[in-house]
This record gives sequence, structure tokens and C-alpha cells, in this order.
Amino acid sequence: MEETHEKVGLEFPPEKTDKPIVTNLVKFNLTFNILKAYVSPGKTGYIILELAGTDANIKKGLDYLENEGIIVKIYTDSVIRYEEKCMHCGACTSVCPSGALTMNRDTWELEFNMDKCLLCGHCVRACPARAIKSFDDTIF
Amino acid sequence: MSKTIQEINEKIKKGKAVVFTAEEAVAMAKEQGIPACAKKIDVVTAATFGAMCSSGAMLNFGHSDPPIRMSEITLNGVQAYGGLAAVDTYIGATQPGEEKGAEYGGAHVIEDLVAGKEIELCARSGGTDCYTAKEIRTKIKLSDLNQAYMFNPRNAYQNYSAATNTSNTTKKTYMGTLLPNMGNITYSTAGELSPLLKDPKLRTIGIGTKILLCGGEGFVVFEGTQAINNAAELENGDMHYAGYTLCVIGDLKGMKSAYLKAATFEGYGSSLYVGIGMPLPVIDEDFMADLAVSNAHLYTNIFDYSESKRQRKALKRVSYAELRSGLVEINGKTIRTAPLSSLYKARLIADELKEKILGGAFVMTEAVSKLPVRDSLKGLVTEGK
Ligand code: SF4
Ligand code: SF4
Repeated sequence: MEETHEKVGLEFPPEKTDKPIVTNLVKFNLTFNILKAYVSPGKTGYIILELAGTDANIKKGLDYLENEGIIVKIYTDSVIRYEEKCMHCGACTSVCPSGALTMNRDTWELEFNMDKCLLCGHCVRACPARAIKSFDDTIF
Repeated sequence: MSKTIQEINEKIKKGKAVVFTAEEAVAMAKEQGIPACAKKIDVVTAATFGAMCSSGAMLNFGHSDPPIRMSEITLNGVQAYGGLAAVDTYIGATQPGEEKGAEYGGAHVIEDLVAGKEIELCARSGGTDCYTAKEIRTKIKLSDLNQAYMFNPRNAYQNYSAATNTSNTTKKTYMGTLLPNMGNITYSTAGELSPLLKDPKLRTIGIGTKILLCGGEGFVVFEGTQAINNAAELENGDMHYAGYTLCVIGDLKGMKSAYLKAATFEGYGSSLYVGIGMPLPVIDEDFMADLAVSNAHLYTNIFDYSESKRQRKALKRVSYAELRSGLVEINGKTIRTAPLSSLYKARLIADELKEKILGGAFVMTEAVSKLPVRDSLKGLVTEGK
């Protein structure tokens, strides 16, 4: 059986963040690598995982997660980017949970740090100028 | 020491005027004091770039052949007002598009007009003896129109409440997306750069004051709707200003796309970000003192926007310096703040106006009439309960 890799983003509702759901993925013969995690009790949590296993097992694992009430987003190398349309208002920074979007406090320009981005997509809808797009619009 | 606008204009024409942006003036006043600044500086440029919902454009299309008395009008699928003369209309920024709603509303039509894009005009009419056409469908551009001017009944808010949300669900408001349990605070101001915070007693801004409106020439034409200027004096002697507003006008044909921006507030509607630059003549030391007030001494209240009442209770009074710091504490909780208006763009406008005045391309006008002082606002009584 051939093994594939899949990068997925998981969004945990606040009441699920303290349950050991992700570790159960081993039961589906999957190995996983946590790339990013932003979890604190009582808040919506975000985890970005790289999953390895057969296609069939990956599907079973993701079905399991969805049954547990977790929102699963699959992406390849999706990026968030702000274009020329950005007017540096800062509205997107108010909803960004990870601090990937911040205002430079000298120039008051928007700054984006891809390394911190959890691909949660909140900024896409919060931007009044619609200056943020995802690589793949279907993700959000 | 006092100077008249005429004297300052003479200096501008000779290329000798000393012009500072309001932020530069604040910094200089800290170093050298008010009297020195009043002597040295002739004009201070103030500016703001923020969402101003009460904005729109007056358009005249010219007559078709045969002519039509337009009564139902859409521009790119957004309804415009059909209750004026035959081929006049007003399109408002918050009008939702018939197809795309807030994603493409009146503000977007205005933005596209200024960008020189083609707009589809559809108009219908019952037909009259003198205006026989009943329907037209055509494409127009800004340059095709006889007149096209922005006419904004309420712009340049002096001061606006900051917003948070104490409920446990996300609220989508015109103050942006407010996260549950006071997850964020949003505010909208240019603070110490903002025109009406620099001339709170309306000593120089009046009817007829020439301004930069979205990068082009514009004028203050009247008090803005819902204007109120009763200020509260705080214990430390600082003033907490209310919310005076201005009604402004300016030719769409002279505007620059960089200084206006159509916006969609999720779950709320469309709006227009409008850029305004205002020249403030340094007429005397008292006025210089007003011009030199910094963010640390300018205040607003934070309100709970989950409360749907006319009279909301303020959660906290904060200075703009605190809001700009990025974190504000309410009841022991440290909350992230985020701006909604663009200080970056406001600075560009203040700089551009400064350069224009230095180059002699912008001279100031004297107000032809004073703006009225309003110390209270009427509410609206509704029937039933
Ligand atoms: S998708 Fe947007 S809001 Fe979410 S973490 Fe990335 S930058 Fe922040
Ligand atoms: S909300 Fe949009 S326009 Fe405003 S700073 Fe963020 S990306 Fe730029």
C-alpha cells in the first residue's frame, strides 16, 4: 500500500480543546506531525497537522475527526496574501488569533508573518477592502 | 501674537509659509513649547482616512435620444435615487447591490467611477409626453458625465466610540468583527492628526473651508448630520470631545483612487473609506495649544456593542495613546485593540496637503459662515412600546 502525506488544518470548538482527540489518529494506522498548534482552554483551538498513511486510512481518520465535531480543512500550499488593495486599516488584526497579522506601530502599515499563520481564514472575511485572499478560496 | 488667514495666504503665495503636519506640530510643541510653535508655524495639516457611511455621489447623465425621465435607476446593479430631475441621481455608499449585496454596493460604484471604469446604467420610467423613453441600458464612465460630485452629509467624525463585545457570541458590526467575551476592542480615529480634534471650538473650520476630499479639491458646505460638540472637562483638565461632523462636497473627477476605498463590513453592509485633508491656519497661541494636543490627552469611551440600546453605558474612558498601544485593560482583563481607520493613509494625505501648500498649489479659504454649535442630539421616538 502506498503512503501519502496530507496537510490538514483542524479547528476545535472551545469545548473540545482539552480532549485527546488527535492522538486517537494512531488507531487508524496514521502517523502525524504537529506543525502548528494554537490551543488554550475555553477558546477555539487550531492545529495544523501533517498526516501520513494510506489514502483510505487518512479518509477514515478525517471522518473520525469530523464526527468529533472538529472542522477539518485540507490544503496544499495555500497562502494568505494581502495585495495592493490593502489600505492598512488594521481591521484584520483584530480577529487574527495568532498574531500573524499585526500593525507596525511606527509606520502603521500592516505586517504579515506567514510562519505564525494558522490558516484559520478569519481575516479573509474581516477585511473590509477584501484585500486578503487564500490561494484556494474553497478552504475558508 | 496673531495672524490672519490672508497674511498666511500671502506667505503661501511667496513660497514662505511654514507648514507642519499635525503630528509634526505635536512633536515640536513638546520640544519647544506653544509660543515658539505659534510664531514659527503658519499652517498645520490635519487628515483622516476612515469608513464614512454617510457618503455618496450626485450624478448627471445628460439626456438620451429620445429622452427619459428616470425613475428607477441602477448602476452596476446598485439602486440609485430616482426622485430628482429627469437625469439626476444620488447614489449612496451603503446601498446594497441587488445581486451581490454588501460585496458590491453604492461605495463600490463610486470607487469604480473614480477609477475610470465603465459602469452599466439601467433606467426605467413610466414615460411622459415630453420624456417618451421607458427604458434605457447603456455604459457610462466618469468622463461621460456632466457633473459628478461627492456629497457627503456626515464625514470627518470628531470622535467616535471604541467597541467591544461582552456577550458570548461573535458580533458583526460596522466597528468590525467583535469577538466574544471582550476578545478585542476596535476603534476608528486619526487621533492627534484628526481635523475636528485639532479645531474643537470650530475657530477656523467653517462653511466654505477648502479641503482635500479623496485627493481632490473639496469644501466644507455645512454642519454634518448628527453633529454634536458638547465637550466634557475631565479632572486633569483635559477635554473629552463629543462628535462634531462635517458635510462636505468635492468633484469626483479630481479625486484619486488611493484616497477612497469601498468597504464591506461583514454582516453589516458596504461603506466608503473617505480621505480628508484639512489645512488649519495657526491664527494665535490659543489655537496652537489646541493643535498641539497629543493622543495622550485625547479620549474616547469604549462601549459594549452587544448591547442594542440607544443609550449604552460606557465601559471605560481611554486615551488614544492607550488604544494605539495595542492593549487596554477592562475589569482586570487585558484586551487587544485594533484600528479600523488607516493612520497610514491619513499621514499620506496630511503630507500631500503639506506639500501642496508649500508649493503654492493650495491656498486657504476663509469661512463664509460659522458652523453652528450643537450641545444635544435628538433621538427618535417610535410608536408602540
Ligand atoms: S488565516 Fe488570517 S486570521 Fe487566521 S491566523 Fe492566518 S493571518 Fe491570522
Ligand atoms: S483589513 Fe484588509 S485593508 Fe485593512 S489592513 Fe487588513 S488586509 Fe489591509
